[in-house]
Amino acid sequence: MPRYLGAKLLQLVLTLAGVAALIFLLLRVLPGDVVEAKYLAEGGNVSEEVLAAERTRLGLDRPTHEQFAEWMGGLVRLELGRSMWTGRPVAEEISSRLAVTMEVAVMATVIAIVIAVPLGIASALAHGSWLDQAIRVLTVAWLSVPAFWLGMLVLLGLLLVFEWGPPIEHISLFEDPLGNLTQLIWPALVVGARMSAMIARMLRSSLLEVLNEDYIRTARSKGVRESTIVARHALGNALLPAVTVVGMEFAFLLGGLVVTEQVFNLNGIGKLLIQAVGQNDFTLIQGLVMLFAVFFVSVNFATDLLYAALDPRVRLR
Amino acid sequence: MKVRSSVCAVVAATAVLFSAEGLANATPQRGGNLVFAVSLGEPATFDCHAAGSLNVMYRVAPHYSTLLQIDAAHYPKVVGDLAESWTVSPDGLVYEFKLRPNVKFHDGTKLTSGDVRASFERMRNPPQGVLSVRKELLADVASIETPDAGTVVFRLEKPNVSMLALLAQPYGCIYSEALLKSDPTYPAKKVMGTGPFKFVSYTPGAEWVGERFPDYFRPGLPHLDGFKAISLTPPSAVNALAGGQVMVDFRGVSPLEADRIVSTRGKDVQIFEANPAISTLFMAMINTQKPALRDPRVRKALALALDHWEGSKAMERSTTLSVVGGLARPGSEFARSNAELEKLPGFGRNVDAARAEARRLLAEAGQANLKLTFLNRKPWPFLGVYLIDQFRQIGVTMVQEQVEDSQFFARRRAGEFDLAVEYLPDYLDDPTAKWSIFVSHEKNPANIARYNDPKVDTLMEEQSRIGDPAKRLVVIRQLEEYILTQGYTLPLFWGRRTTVVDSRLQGYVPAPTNYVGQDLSQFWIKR
Amino acid sequence: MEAMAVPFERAARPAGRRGLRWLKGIGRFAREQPLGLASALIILVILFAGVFAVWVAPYDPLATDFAKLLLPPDATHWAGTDEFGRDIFSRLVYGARTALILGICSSLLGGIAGGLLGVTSAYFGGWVDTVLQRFVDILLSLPVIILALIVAAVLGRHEIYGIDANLMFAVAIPYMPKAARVIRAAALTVRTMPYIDAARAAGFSHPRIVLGHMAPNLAAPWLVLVSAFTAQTILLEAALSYLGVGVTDPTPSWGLMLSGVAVQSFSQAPWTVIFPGLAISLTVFAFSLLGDALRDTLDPKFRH
Repeated sequence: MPRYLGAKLLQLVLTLAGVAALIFLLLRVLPGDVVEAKYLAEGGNVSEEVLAAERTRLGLDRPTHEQFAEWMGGLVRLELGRSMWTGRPVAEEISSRLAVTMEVAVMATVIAIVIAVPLGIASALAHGSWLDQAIRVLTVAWLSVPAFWLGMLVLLGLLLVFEWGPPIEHISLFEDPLGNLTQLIWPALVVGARMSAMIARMLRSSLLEVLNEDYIRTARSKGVRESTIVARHALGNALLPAVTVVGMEFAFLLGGLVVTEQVFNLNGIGKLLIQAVGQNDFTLIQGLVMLFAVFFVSVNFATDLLYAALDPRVRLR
Repeated sequence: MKVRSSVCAVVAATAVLFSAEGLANATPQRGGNLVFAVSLGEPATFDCHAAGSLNVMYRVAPHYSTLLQIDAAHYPKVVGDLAESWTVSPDGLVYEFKLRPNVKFHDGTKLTSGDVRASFERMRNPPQGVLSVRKELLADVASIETPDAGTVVFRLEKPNVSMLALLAQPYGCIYSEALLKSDPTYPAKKVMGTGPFKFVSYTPGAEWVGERFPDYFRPGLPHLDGFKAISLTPPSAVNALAGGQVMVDFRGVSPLEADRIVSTRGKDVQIFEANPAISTLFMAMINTQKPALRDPRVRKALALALDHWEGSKAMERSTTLSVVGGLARPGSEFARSNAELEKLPGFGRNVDAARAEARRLLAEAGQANLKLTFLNRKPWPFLGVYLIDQFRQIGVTMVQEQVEDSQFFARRRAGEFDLAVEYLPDYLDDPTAKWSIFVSHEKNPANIARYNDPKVDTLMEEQSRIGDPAKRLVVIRQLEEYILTQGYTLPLFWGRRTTVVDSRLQGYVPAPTNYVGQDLSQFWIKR
Repeated sequence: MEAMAVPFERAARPAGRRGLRWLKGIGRFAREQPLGLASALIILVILFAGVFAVWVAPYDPLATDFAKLLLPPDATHWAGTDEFGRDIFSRLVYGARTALILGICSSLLGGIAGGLLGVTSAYFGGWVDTVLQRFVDILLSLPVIILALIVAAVLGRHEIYGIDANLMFAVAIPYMPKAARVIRAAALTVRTMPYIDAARAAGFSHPRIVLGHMAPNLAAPWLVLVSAFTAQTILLEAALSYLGVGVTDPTPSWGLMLSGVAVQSFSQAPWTVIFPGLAISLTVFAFSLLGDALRDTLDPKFRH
């Protein structure tokens, strides 16, 4: 086990280093830089000297490999540098917005699980029936609706029908939980609905697979009741892949929120990324991308460990 | 169409209300917080001297005073802000300002003439590390003197008829000389001035908060306890207005959006229109360095392809840019009448004839199958849609390239485009300030049409020195006509602002520019 | 351990006999997968509209008509007009062309590049496999939309014949590693087949074995993959266009039709919002169902 763990950890670090290098190089291909956006968008006449001075201040005029070395060095010390737009530390920019995003993501995941588990089980048990077909088509349909369109319809529907819109200023979960809920439930519903379709599909297929395993057949032939089989034997084993999907989806949810936050004007990290891309704020984009990558890779790592713990074959491989 | 008429009714109603009651009759009530939307993104700096965009000014203006200001209610009249009175010498070379006594900074220190001088010097000759984007507006200033703590004297090299308006620029925030001495870049990071509101906090992406400055130099002002500027995307700003969550978005909304807000809020909102246009012109600048566009015939053909009058009808519903005009703001003292305007290329009423002429010119220039690109910023795709549609009708194919800001400005500066969008700084109508981007490229690199034309330079210089308004107007007209017939730029549309204001909010004045009257000191909330 | 758990992974098994009898196959597909058949028909209709847009669309999608702004649907404008008086139905038809070209081309591009990567990885094994898989790991550890967003911003716009080539790349790149994973898994099985060893023993060149012997046996999972990708790439293009980094106006694009003015005109002109959204949903729905049906047909394990 320690060897397996070590190998996986090494792989994790290598992947992250790769992401760091990739994103850094990608951004250096971008024509124009933050200085152009920051100074010229304000209009008026800006001289070359002023632009050059600002580039020097931000270190943008140094050779790419030097900038890269500095950034990677910072990463090792867990420093993300300062935003080239606001001058504030990237970590601060991100952490002030992370709560909203995480909260929506968690709410969406809970909603998704609540919807998906009954649907997935029903679908698998009634395999091949009209119910199964209906659930299948429904989940595919859910996955086909663009999240931003759904969000727009929800927002405009609320305004038109109830003449009410979700609060626009962020309401803290701890100060006013109810107000917080009325604000964040809508994006969570939109994202959660989509995620539930994903999980339901996964749960269905893994349950089906388990239900075809030999030991379940044996149990059946011994006359064990179907409900007992599902609850006691099948569900437990089928849950593992489903949990994996939940984990992966949660990691990807942070990406999916990029669009939803835009629709609902949430001041989360998704909106921050769009803003940073628009401003060519290299350090901020790099920091955000690393955050997404770290999150995803850790979930992946945790899942691997979970599998290894439960399935000795994996460890020995 | 029913909704539309209701808006008209509301507009009419508010107009009546406005004239009958007037501002003076209503007694302002003290207290309350003004919550308004800023739907323009996050500020790049807090420093007025380095700023030109509304997204900086809407947030920062309430915290600062300027020497002079433009009276929003009587635009473009110049009135004093920190200056109590002033005299101009007969030769127009010496401007002497008496400052108000007892003006205090938010940190409690007293304002003196030194602060005013230090601020204007900073604008005129920015020290290392400080950006001043409009220093050429003060190019005629020879020196600034402070004979005593309450007096500031500006000496000019040459008389400049626009000097008072230039000194009244809303970007001319007065900073503390003491703080500037310890850190000349303080205004970029820290907000500290003499304005009616003290800075409280700024949460990027969320809100900017200010509170009443109790020692503000105008007695009894501001009426408001504070303000909160909320960062919103444009669609969510309209939703917030429709939901009554913000009281106003000063930038204005399109008539279509106004209809939607009125349909949910009814009489709880008032609509203000700035008539006939606000001082923002959107243009397509033509890159005269491109081989195909070097030929004046081709540029003229492009101008002739446009049908401004019909296009305006399309713009008028769904955008905030729809007023047809030349290079001077329609309704301003420098503008032509429509009849005169129609004589300029691209403004004629007989569009078919103009387009036939355009095709002929293109054929003559050997550019019958011209292919172009239009470099545009993100918020205004409709300008590209309009231009592409118009050019198609003379056989010119154009592709719109909407890119991120950083790429947009980099490419525009480097001349990597055929046509690119440009907009004029918009706090006043005076050509001296407004038309500086038409000066030859070698003198002003901000001229993205990249031509060098001594005639433009001569006329620009000439008009800024003529004291007699009527004579000056002749030169201005001549200059405008020359720029347009040379086809250096295609004026598209002037801004038309429709502002939806919560009925409780009083003191809003729809000035023909977005930049004035933004210190919020006159606003109050009716309870 | 493939923690990705892509649902299509199960399709990763050999297609069986070569020389599949296509007609018979299609017949069986139609009988067993009525939903698949229905979705294939929907796709055909959309494809037809896109390909023959010039004849299908009643109006020029770029032609503005300032006398007819935001008209509700009626006999002349079946889906109403937008804020420039452009016929929305015509824009939807031409939008199908944009969506399909971008969707299909980017999934093919991602599928081919990823597929080659996967086969190469599986065939050579060893350090080649390790290096390629670490590269795939890197690309996989970023959410699709974020990778696409950044690549789109980096590349900027570059239109060739009205189609944005750079956008195509931006949409294709995030799908490449996914394809590589799935195809590699399938190819590992194929690699153990005796005829591959035989081909090697016969001294055939690597490219010949990879392309001539292994690739054909991976056609089935690849096809399933690409049809599922197409659904997702269409959705992705719509999202990017909505965010303003995708297709540029006036090129008709469904996602673009939902950004900007459309949002604000909703209460007065709901048709500007409803129809493009429906068009996206329907097309993505059809491609997803087709992908499911193909998987069920081509993957024996799913044929219960």
